[in-house]
Amino acid sequence: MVERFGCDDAADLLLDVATGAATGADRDQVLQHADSCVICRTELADLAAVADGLLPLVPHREPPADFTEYVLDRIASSERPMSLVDERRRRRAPRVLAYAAALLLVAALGGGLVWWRTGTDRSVAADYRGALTAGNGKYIRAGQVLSEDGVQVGRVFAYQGDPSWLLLTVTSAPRDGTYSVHMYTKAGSQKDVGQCVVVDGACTLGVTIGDVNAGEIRVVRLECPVGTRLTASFAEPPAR
Amino acid sequence: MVTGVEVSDEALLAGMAAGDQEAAGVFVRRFKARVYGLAIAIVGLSTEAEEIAQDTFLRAWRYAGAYDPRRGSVATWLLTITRNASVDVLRIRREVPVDPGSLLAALSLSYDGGTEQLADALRLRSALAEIPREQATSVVLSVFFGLTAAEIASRDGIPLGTAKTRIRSGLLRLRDKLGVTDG
Ligand SMILES: [Zn+2]
Repeated sequence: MVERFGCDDAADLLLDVATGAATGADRDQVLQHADSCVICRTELADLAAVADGLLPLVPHREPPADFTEYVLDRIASSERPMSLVDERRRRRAPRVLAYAAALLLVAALGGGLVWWRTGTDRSVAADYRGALTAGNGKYIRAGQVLSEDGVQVGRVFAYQGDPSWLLLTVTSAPRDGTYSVHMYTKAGSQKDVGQCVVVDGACTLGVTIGDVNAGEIRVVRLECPVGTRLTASFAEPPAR
Repeated sequence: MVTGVEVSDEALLAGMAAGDQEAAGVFVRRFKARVYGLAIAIVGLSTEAEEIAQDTFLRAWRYAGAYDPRRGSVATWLLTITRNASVDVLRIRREVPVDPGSLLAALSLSYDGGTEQLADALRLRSALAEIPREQATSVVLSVFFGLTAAEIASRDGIPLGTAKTRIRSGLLRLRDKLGVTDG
């Protein structure tokens, strides 16, 4: 059915998708079609840009005085600290602390290839900004690692500093195995980054990226011999 | 990276994606009035509006890494989250908004939102007041209140094709007004 979904079908629903009113299956079908049809994609982007442009016109209203504090409390309690027990539950997404620890570790080593497994180091409690300072960091980019069906299976960080490096943390890969990791730049060049051995769905790879600018990385792909492919891309642009 | 005076929206989001709560604090303070204002405009002044605003920031915190700059600014991304959460509440209430007119009036007002009165926003405001009323109303009903063309047709007792034309022509006219002057 999806294959037969053409421009006429899309045109029927496109307006609702552009305004944000469409939900569920309708929306998915149109977006899927727009993915491969430049005409509908352009039309959709065009209308959606106008529609979205209206949202900021609403008058601002200050929420109650304790709003910020309350939101930050909720944010803080949405993470639980790592514990020894977590080691048995590696499939679960690692906590922020794990990233901070990994970032610090990679920065501290300052070069070479680093293998590091999330959840083994519970003692590093410093903030990741410590890593930035320690490494004369300029900025860090963060993004998601997605499986072929678009499910988030890990996180990616690229750090522009001295040295610059890339950190991949996969927590729920669909298949165990040795994944080869390739980095593609916006200019179109490809660089082999190394390998990530996925055990129980998890692996972490930290690696310096030489003279490649962290801001120039377009995508990082992890491929395992049986064909499973994971894709890491970033939220842009890099923080300055 | 989050202590500077001129930290960009994108930088704050990157910090949040990396788990930086301090970045989240700056982010919330920067956007709370916009997010809360939009929630109130859609669901009305209520505890629900505050919950929607809170949930919006929680979602932004969780999905900061999923932000795609090709699809628009951070502010637009965040307000889209707010709009979707607000529309979800409306759908649960099963209420059909009776008065898109007051929101339309507020949108067209030359409102002083601080330093961010971008040229595009100013043009959109005046354009909303200039296009045919039924087009502007249909656009507001769909973009803010999440009504599909079919729902607008049944609400206004008009054929589906007419509802679609109103929304589409409205959006295209707004776009044309934006394109007239170079930005
Ligand atoms: Zn098409």
